[in-house]
Amino acid sequence: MKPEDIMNSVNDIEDDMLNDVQKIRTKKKNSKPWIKFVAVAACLCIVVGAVLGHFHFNPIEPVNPSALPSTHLHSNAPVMNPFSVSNAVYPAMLKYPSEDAFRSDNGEVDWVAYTNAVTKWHEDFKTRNKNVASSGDYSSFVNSTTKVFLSDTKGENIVYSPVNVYMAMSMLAESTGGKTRHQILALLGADSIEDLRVKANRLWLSNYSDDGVKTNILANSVWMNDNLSYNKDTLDILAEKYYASSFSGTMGSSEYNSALHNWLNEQTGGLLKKQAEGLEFTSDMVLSLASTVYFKGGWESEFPEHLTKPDIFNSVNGKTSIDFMYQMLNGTPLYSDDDYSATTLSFKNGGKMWFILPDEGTSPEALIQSGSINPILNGSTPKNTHNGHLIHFYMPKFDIVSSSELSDYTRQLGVTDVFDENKADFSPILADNMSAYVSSINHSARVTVDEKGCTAAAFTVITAEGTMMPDGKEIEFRLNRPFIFVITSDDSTPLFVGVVNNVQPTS
Amino acid sequence: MEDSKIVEMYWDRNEEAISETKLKYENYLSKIAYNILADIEDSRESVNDTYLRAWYSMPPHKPDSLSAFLGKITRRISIDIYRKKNSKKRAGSEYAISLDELYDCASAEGEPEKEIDSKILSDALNRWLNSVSEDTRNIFICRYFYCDSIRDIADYTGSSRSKIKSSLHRARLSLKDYLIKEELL
Repeated sequence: MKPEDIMNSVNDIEDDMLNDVQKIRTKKKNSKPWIKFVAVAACLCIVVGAVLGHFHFNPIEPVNPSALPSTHLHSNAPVMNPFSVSNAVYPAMLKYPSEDAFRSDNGEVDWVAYTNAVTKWHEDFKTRNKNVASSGDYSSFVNSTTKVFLSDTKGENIVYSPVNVYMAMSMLAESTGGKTRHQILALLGADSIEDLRVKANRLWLSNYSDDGVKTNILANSVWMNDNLSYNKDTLDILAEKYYASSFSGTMGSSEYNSALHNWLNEQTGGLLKKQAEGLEFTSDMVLSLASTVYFKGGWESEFPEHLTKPDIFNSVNGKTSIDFMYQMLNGTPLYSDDDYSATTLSFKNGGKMWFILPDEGTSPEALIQSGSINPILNGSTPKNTHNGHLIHFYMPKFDIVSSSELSDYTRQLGVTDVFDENKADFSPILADNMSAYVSSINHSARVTVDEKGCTAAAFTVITAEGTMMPDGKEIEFRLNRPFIFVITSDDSTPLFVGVVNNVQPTS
Repeated sequence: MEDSKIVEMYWDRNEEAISETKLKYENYLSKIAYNILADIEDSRESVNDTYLRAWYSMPPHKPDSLSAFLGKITRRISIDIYRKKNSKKRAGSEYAISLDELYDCASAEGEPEKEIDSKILSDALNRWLNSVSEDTRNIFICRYFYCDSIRDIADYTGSSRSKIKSSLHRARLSLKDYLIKEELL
């Protein structure tokens, strides 16, 4: 090893240590240790199954799915299986150039060529960012569904992904007609199906990233029964506007079931394997719509592992000893409202996670019902913002998973006809006057949090000279009792909302 | 202006992000560059390159600590320039001197050198820094990251120069022991 090797590795010194030293160098003495942060991987999926109402399928059908032209077949299609009819074509996206690709044999980087490539990426990035969803598109749906879906946790942990259910329900709206569709549009906050297409497409695009820096795809798919026939126009719209892949196979066969499981696992990074395996097509199913969201973000700066220590989490079922990660936040505002306080952690490359701690005596469920966290869900900030505090942030490591049947909740929200054998109208997608109704809406989600972030260079939260120094007030923010979290994308779209009521020690 | 605001301006592709960065960080970055290069012109070049690199790397990066983010860029660019244009005038640069000091914890001459993955070495260094006292850590980082002179470090910490020198010496030996223990040396 040469001295140069050590000098090189010195460049990777954790930001928090550098910032500590920088404080000394600028003679603003502050003996507080500065700390790194966590990583989060989250994910989820939903399946909507429609069951034949009156079973009268016609074996001689005008359009057989397998006979559909494979115009959507594409090389960047993520999953191909024997049941594929058409695969989603995702918009092309430039990959962020890596320095290494421009490094010559002597180790030097060709900066001119590299910066040219980066400039191109930025132009592409700029164009992409025009697709930002406006929060108004989606806020009424988020507010109403969060309230209902998270109303009764029964002391369990629960995770809900509004963006995921929104996508699945949008596809359901496309597949239905008449009053059935009308009820779904009302829930989605859309005036018409055309309005929904614009909004859903915008939401999809604003959450789509496949540039090598961040991979985030809201994957959609349609699963058809190979005994039946479907309307091509609607399938085309699902492919074009919702980037849905479609499959056709024998409902109830183990091969078709495992094709569904594989697709779900592939789209969700295997995080929901158990939940996916619990989903099975039955032979009377005519259609299934599946949507997934997968999110993985490293903390802007990681929690140092050596500061993780066991502490007590006061769950609804009693006390649990669990590993708490620790870090100090400087420059991150503390937010509050009448009945909670909240703060955020940022992810590398955008997006953040909100941690909402209800005041003692208030349950997370009651807080959600009160609507006072709606500003967070709608991309804004809570009533009060306190700057200049030094926050001692303690968070339990958690890995929570939940699986819910949303049919009853959806009925409560005014979407009723689609579940009714006699009223459900699936004419836009089902040919031959077939009738069907929704038998289940399954929503599974999982969020795991720990101190390990992406292994790439970690950049840290620290104040430097010139930034506001803490006003001396130190605040402890300890998530040691049931709390709420919200993961938002770069444009503040809520991707996941969850309630952590209890924690399990992870090995 | 707050760091988060400046970073936001980079993300909005607002060119004023660079002037705000200059306003806030020019001195800080120039000092890092000068400590390494011992030449005003070269330092200026390094700092200007830093702005350019910052412009091209945000997005995708969204650093919470803009100062550490920028400081690392300047340090890397300056060391690159140092290696490329190693002229006589640099012999006295603090980087040259501190680099020389690190022979204390490198492989001795004639010894077979181990091929070490840079990531593994960086991790070990961070672990070692986390294990030593705060004073040792601070002095080490002043000297080998910021390439500050012994005099500057003595000023910052309110200690005597001889005390800084001996602390640094002990730190290097401790690092060497650590690297041997981790089988990196």
